[in-house]
Amino acid sequence: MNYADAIDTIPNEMFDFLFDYSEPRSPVVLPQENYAIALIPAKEVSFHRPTVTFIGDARTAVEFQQRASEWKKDKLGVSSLSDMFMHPAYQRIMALGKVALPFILRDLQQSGDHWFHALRYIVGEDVAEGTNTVADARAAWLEWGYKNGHI
Amino acid sequence: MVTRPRDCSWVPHGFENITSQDFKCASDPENDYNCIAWAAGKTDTFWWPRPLAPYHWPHGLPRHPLQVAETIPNFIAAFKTEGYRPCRSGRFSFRYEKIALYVADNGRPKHAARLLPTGVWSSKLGPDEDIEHRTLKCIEGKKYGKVRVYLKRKWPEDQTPKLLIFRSFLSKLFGRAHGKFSPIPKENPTAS
Repeated sequence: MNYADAIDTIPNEMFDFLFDYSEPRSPVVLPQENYAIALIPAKEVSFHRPTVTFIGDARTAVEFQQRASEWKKDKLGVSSLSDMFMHPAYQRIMALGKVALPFILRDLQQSGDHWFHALRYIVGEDVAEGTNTVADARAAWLEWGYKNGHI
Repeated sequence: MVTRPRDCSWVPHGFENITSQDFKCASDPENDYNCIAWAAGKTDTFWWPRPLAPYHWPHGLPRHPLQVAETIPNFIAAFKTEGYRPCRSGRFSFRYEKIALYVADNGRPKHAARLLPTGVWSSKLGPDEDIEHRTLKCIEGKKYGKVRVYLKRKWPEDQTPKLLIFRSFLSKLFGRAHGKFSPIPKENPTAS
């Protein structure tokens, strides 16, 4: 679900929360509602809005957070990309498919971590092809994410 | 570039043969390069044989399949492109800079460390911190396997250990022991 589609489905009472232009925060799962919400810096996206809100399925948010934490803990000090990408938690995130894209892209934006394999697998193409540095590949994927409404 | 604060407190938990006395935390963690790039003297690219952007592997060398790409000969060939060649030991030399390649029991390379002019080893721990460690053995184990290959190349003219030691001597002589000319670590290796 992209930003434009998701915004139409949000109940009015949630708007105050959603448009709180405060500091970036971790995903929040609202009680009784099936939304996960996070505000992230959007300096590169818009001159008008200090943050961007993305909305994903709450269960996906929890699943992503748990698996990503597990992966980040276990990959400390690991150089081998095969070891990084074959980690069961990373594989599980890849298996989530397109619903995981907003969460992966947000983590890529914040941590710059090695999500390129998962992104290429889920999207089906290497958007960063031709880049030689992690920073350039990160920028290419984030730009693609903005253009396609995933963040 | 995304920077994170330096925190090597995980290192003694990540390697079974290291203690906090064996190493010094030498840099902030950074995703942009890894141990192989660091050993080859590069800090702007992430070296690993993988057919995926942005990962770098020297032109003409296999990036896949895994059984061909992640092998000792392929990693030696990669270091050869930077002027290294295999040698017998990781003993310090005034003439050569050296690299130690760690390999797992299944024959897959896992890590590389570089010998500094000061005589200590330097390792970039994956996409995380750089550490300086006294011995190669202290990071051997489950994660990296054992050192199976040593490589060497001549020191660049302006970085020979003799020159660096002479600069350090001059610095100390003029009371600037920890100044910009000193390559010697200020304190005993400790975790920060």
